[in-house]
Amino acid sequence: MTAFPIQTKLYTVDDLINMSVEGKRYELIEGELVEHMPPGDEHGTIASLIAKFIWDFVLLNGIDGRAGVESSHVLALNPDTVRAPDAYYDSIAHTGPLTESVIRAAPELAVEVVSPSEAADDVEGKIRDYLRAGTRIVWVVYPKTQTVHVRTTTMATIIEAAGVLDGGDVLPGFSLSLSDLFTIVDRLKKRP
Amino acid sequence: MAFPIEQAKLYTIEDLDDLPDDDGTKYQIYDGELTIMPPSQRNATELGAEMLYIIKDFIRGKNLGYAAGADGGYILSRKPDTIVSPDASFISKERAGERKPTGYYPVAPDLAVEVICPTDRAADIRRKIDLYLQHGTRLIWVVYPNTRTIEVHTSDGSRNLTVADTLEGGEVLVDFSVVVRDIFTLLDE
Repeated sequence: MTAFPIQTKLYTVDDLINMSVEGKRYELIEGELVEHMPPGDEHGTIASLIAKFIWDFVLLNGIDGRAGVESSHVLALNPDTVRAPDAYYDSIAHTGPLTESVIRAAPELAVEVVSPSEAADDVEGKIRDYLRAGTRIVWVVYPKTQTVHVRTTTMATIIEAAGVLDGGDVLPGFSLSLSDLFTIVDRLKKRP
Repeated sequence: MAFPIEQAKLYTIEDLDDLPDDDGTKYQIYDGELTIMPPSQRNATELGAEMLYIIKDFIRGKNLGYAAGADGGYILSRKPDTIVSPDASFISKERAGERKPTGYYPVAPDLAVEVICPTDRAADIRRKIDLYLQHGTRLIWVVYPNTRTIEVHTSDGSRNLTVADTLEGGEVLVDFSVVVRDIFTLLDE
């Protein structure tokens, strides 16, 4: 998803909340308002499937937390940084209860699905912002190679197409086989 | 940095001889797909030069192998053909084989350095890393000027280094080590 800088005045979280322009998606990166193109078909499918697998685990185990897609998370203040992860998991203990507004914390687990035209620098910038703000695990999904980069503050691992993602200390016991995920995606790409 | 060119055929290394290069255009081929490389932007090219310099400086007089700059061609595979130019690289004497006055390196480098430009796409970088590993490159350093981080890839896994960490040569450049901060210092000059 390509990001277009809009202007140079420093925006804040409150500015973002008060902006309600139909169909537009914004993030704030150190006070800079950045508009995003809504994601493509495969991108949205993968993000929602990952959220679905997390939800399955959360509901089955009665965990006090939620998965979601695209909700705004406040990563830093002065200057303000607000990112909307493609998918995420947040516990109530860490993030507090569900509200109607933005989430005033970093996601505990952030998922970013890399779009075909997305710049390598932008992806690395997102990972840095999340980890600096306290996100414990970042999954960066590369649909083209069907691999996932797992990043924490201390390590970087590449999970290959035959591998399994685990929930680490954020969601102990959670596992997602990448072949399960991409089998669904591949099936959807076939013409009837 | 590379842009795929719309094409209907699989390109080969021999086709490179017939492509215009008088305007400085550089080409790479990934599994038969021809890509052009625009000139590097400032931060990336200066960091690429720095990486080449510290590699060259380390191997000087040690008779270990050869260091190449951003225009060096490495043939990773034939049929379909893959030829790439890392921003800086090292190839050991054993892998490089007999020295010939012309021609590309016949195999993947032992160490490949990629410096990220604003126009580099994440998916393309990912693909290049996969190709290097698949064809025997033992160590890959991906340098991100904006975040001042270096991603290190080997067949055993990956690490992400920040300015306080030390970049090491592993089994490719034994005893090579440099503090990551020192590499990025040039961006403040």
